[in-house]
Amino acid sequence: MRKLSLFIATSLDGYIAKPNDDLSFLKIVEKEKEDYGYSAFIANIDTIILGRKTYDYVLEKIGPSYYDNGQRDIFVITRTEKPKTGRTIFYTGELAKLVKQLKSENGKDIYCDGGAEIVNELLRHDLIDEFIISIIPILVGNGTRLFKDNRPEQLLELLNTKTFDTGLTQLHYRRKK
Amino acid sequence: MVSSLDGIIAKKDNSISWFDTSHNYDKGVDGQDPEEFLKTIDCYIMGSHTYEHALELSKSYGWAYGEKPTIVLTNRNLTTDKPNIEFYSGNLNKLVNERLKPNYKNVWVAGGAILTKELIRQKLAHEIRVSILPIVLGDGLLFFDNIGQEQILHLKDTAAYKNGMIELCYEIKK
Repeated sequence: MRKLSLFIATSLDGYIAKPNDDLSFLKIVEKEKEDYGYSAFIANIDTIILGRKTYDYVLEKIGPSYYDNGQRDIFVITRTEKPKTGRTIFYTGELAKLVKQLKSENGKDIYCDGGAEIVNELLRHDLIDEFIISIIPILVGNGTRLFKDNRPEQLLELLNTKTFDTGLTQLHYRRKK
Repeated sequence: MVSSLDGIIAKKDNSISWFDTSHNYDKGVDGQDPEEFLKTIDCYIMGSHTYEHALELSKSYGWAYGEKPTIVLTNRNLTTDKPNIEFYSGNLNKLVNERLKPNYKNVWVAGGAILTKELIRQKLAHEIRVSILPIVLGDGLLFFDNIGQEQILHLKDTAAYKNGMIELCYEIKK
């Protein structure tokens, strides 16, 4: 069955962004030719789920083809009806329903790129199968938490760990069934 | 400190059964003998909630911190019959620089979140060692709760153990 994976970077104190969606702290581990396994990961993905805020942010800062490169389906979780554009679908229904539907279909794996609200909704419904968390060697002090309150307890299985010379540590877990 | 993947160091009910993972990580190494590690510590400091929690746990598991000098940071009038435990309500900076640094080589902060925040904010901590267990707890006390200022860290060491625990050791650069 298809799995839903989370591939995301967080500070040691568990924040995925500083206040005002400030992601500048990620620069401290930027290294030429180092993508921290992202392209290997994305090669196994044919569907991406994101929150509307994340989508808007990336659209503005990077551009429409970052996610929608014509080779995969993009589902933007939003309350506002919008027509499909390219392979990007604006989904206004229940997230859990969408994920269960997608998992039952054939295909490569599904990737959630955030934001925190979507991730936490998925965690609350126990829908994330794999976690690839990159820990940036920094405490940012404040911002958007990756893991918010009121989620169920969930045992994990450690699959792999990787340490990079930039000080970034990548932890790969699978949900324990 | 030992924390879950979602950064929690204590459950709301203070139970510690989650410390036991029945996991088997093949690429991991055997756990370090806790006795060996504890030998390197020559002084403990802790906040008052951690102290009270430890007292509670000691009823079932014995006092975890042995006979070494132990300083509990508190403004309350706590008492103890253990000669090695001291209650301190003065200035943290003074404690670290005037009493701990000159006298001890390896001071271990047993917890908790409030003391951690103060030590980091005042730049009094030199090293952060976090052991991440393969579990998300969902709710509880966070290790790093709104420290409020940025601090770049230097990754010194990492270890992955057979029980699925990961230890990350960071140095705090001044």
